[in-house]
Amino acid sequence: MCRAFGDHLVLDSLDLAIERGETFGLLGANGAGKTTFIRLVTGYLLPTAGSVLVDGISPGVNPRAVHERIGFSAERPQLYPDLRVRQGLRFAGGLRGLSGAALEAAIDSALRRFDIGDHADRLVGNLSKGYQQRVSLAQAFLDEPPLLIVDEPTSGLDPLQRAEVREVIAGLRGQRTVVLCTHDLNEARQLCSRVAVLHEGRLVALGAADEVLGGDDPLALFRGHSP
Amino acid sequence: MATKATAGMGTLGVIALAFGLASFQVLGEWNAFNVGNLVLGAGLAALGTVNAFRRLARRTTHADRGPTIEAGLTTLAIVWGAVLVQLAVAHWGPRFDWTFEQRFAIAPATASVVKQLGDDEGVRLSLYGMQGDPRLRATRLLLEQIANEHPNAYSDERDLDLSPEDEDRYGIGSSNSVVVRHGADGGDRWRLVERPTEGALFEALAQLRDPVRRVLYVAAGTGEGDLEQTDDAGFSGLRAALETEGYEVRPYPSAVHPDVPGDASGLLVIAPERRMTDEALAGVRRYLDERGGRLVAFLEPGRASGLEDILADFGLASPDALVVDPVTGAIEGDSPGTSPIVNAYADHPVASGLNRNRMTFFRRARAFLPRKPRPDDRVGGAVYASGESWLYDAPAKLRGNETPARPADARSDYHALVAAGQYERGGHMARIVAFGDSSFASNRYLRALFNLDLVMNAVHWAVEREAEISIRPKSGGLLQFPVPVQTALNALYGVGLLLPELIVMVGAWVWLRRRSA
Amino acid sequence: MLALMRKEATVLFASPVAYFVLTMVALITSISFFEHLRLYNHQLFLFASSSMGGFETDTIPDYINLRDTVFLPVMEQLGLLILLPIPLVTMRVFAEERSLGTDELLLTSRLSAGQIVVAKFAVTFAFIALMMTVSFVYPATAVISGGLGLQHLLAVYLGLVMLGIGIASIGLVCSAFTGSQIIAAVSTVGITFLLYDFSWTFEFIGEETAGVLDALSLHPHFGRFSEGLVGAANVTYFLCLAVISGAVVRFSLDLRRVGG
Repeated sequence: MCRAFGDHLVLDSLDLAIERGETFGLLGANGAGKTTFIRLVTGYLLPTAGSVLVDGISPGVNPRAVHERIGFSAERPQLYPDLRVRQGLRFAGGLRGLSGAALEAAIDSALRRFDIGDHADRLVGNLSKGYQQRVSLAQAFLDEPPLLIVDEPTSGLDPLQRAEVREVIAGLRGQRTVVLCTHDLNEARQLCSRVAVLHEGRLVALGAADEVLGGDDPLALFRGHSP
Repeated sequence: MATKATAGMGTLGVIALAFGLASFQVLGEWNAFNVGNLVLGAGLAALGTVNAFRRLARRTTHADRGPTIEAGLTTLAIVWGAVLVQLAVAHWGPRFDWTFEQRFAIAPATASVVKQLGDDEGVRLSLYGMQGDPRLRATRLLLEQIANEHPNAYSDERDLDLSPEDEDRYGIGSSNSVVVRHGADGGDRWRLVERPTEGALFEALAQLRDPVRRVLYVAAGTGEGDLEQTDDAGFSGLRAALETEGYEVRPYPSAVHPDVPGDASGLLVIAPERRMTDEALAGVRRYLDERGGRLVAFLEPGRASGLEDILADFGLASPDALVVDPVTGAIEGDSPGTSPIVNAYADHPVASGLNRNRMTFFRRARAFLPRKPRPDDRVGGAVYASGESWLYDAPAKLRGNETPARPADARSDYHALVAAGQYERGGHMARIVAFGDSSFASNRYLRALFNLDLVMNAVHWAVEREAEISIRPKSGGLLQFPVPVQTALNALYGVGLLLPELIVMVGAWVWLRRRSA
Repeated sequence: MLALMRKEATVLFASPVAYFVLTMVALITSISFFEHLRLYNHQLFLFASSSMGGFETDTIPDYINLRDTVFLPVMEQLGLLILLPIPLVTMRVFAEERSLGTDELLLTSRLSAGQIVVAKFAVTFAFIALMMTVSFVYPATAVISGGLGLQHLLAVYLGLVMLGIGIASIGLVCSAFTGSQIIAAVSTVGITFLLYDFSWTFEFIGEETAGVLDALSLHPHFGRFSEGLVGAANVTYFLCLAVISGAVVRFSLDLRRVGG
């Protein structure tokens, strides 16, 4: 598929299949087209050419069915600072069609899974960045969708917080399909089974994480050099 | 960056336009400031718009065009739909009159007289005007509204310059005159109304109707209110109103001819200053007892005309005491409460159409204590002072605007200021309406608030013309009554600030709690 | 949609702006209404005093009546007054989502753009109705205890709510097209001011053009309510303004997905 903004081609002939149940890393420098790729998958943007299929469904044709299958946590957490953690999760659950006891159960389980139960009644805006990132993940994973897309979950966090967030994502491995966007090679190596590297919209490498990132100079990939 | 620039340009443009227009609006002429602002504003706004479109064109590709065009068309369709709905409603939509006195609706009295004329031969209202007269629009609307009341009522508009014959025939002197004609094609009977308010048109219509007049005798000779007297204290207004609504008014010199004449439809006695002669009183009593007489009587506190005894025998006893209603403040320089503004009415035909919003004004009144003299009689109050009112029992001693002292044992109650009764006597049905005040119907107060309606409806009920009972059109000053809000005002500045205070407190509490959450 | 409405209300009442606006409008409405009423009673008794000729219809000038002395001026005052607080309420509704990035969360949820618009408009309008209700509690109490019918006051209330809905619609459009709340608020005040009244244009341009402008502007539609005349057309004018604004906002959301 391709995506262009006017004359500027942001994604160029990207051809990619992500398997069910794997943790897939999408790597690239800033501006490589990762966010655009995610937006195409979530249906926020439409492809200029080609098509995207999630579980066999095109987000352009049936956005609702695709939204039901995707949980998305953005690089900048999409949170309301004026809501309490529980309120925010309740709202996110409402948006995903949960209600009543099912909603409360999902919130409790998400609070436990991401270890933020102690902060359930605090204002999101007053939380540290690490906790905000966790709330964002909890929000994305609330109704346990089959596909979880996580965009730069550790950017701007201190090393301790990073480790915590990575632990959380690692905990999902094998249970769900996870697409992890990052420019942190260690993170990709640690968490992903397969990775793809994007440079200026083009796919420069695709394969098992150890193979692709195992070379002498994996950073060269970020500059667009094929392995 | 481009987004910021576009939004910035648009905002600056709107600000410049607003200042330019404001300056021009106030000055009414062009100058450097407003022209400069308008040009700058328009330029910036246009630039911002062009920029926004260019940006959009730059960022979209052919894949987006389909959905974009679709969304754009949907938006346009919704906008046009809304505009069409608005146009349709503006054309056909109903309007509701929510004013206290139904200022935009025709008075029931006007509607009913139009219906009668319409059922009869029809009625045509012709407005004569000269081009460019700004008053014509309002009159035209009024006539259309009146003509709407009956399919056999018509209104039209004619150019005064083009109808010299009509001008001569009806004696039309000025633009914005209305000729009201009985019969849709214009019969012989017509009235010219030169200042066509609803009230004036109602009177003209009422005069065209019903050539059969009832004769009403008005007691005279012992200092009664004078129906010829035109100053404030006189009752010439009452006479005009009675004649408009189909009565012929004749004097009843009670001392000379004690018997009420045989053609009397009713008898009106307006507060005699001296005691009526015994013969006259006997005559009134016979009229009521033997001939099913119809009496409308006005009393005054501090006067003894002998009529009080007759009324008492008919169950309308009225102690010689002044009603003091503390709910009404000082009016007319009177001491507080002695001139009650009243809005409590019983369910009686005399008070029909009157309600809490339709007040009547009494100036120094006495009260009635209605009680049935016989089981079959029907006696009761029609108009009441407020439940706070009490009786001051020495009205004659009260000087000027001296405040009546409330005795410790004075009882507060709803006191009847107007009472009515219906009695079967000698095989006839007698009816009496008694008012505790006569200045109520004097020229000075007859057209204040709803006094006229109460008096006229009392007369109509007494002579059994219930169909005429109605509410008459009012002139613009109708809302000119004091609103008794002093208590509420005190409440606002006393405890009324509680609500805003509570809101602020809740706000502060929420804010403080959130800071620490 | 219910979840979005609940969240909107929570966020709205979490900020001190909501309480500030409620208090100010409530205070100023009550005080203005009662001051006008007091003045009216005062004038009435002044003219009705015996030295002026008594409490008779003709001695009191026509212009002293509840409509002209109380309802019209109060309404005029409030009509201009609510021009300021309403943008404070509307400015964040869409602009904040945009600046927080949460608009993407909404747009990739199972809600359609239309549903998002309806939910947000509904909560904003409900707040405006609440604001006017709070401010009319005292006048209504006074009018009822004074023995007058509520209907005329209800017409005034309805007029102000409708005007509020009109201004809020404009504010929501402004909020949807920018990520900056300040720009949203300022442009709302500017645009409302432009659209408020075109009656002064009658002198300068043809009567027909001015008539069209008059039919478009806010003030003439709002003024009729204070006279006590509730025309369906005046109600639908503001509702149509809301519908058109909703459509434009919805379009802006669609554009955002397309334009990235």
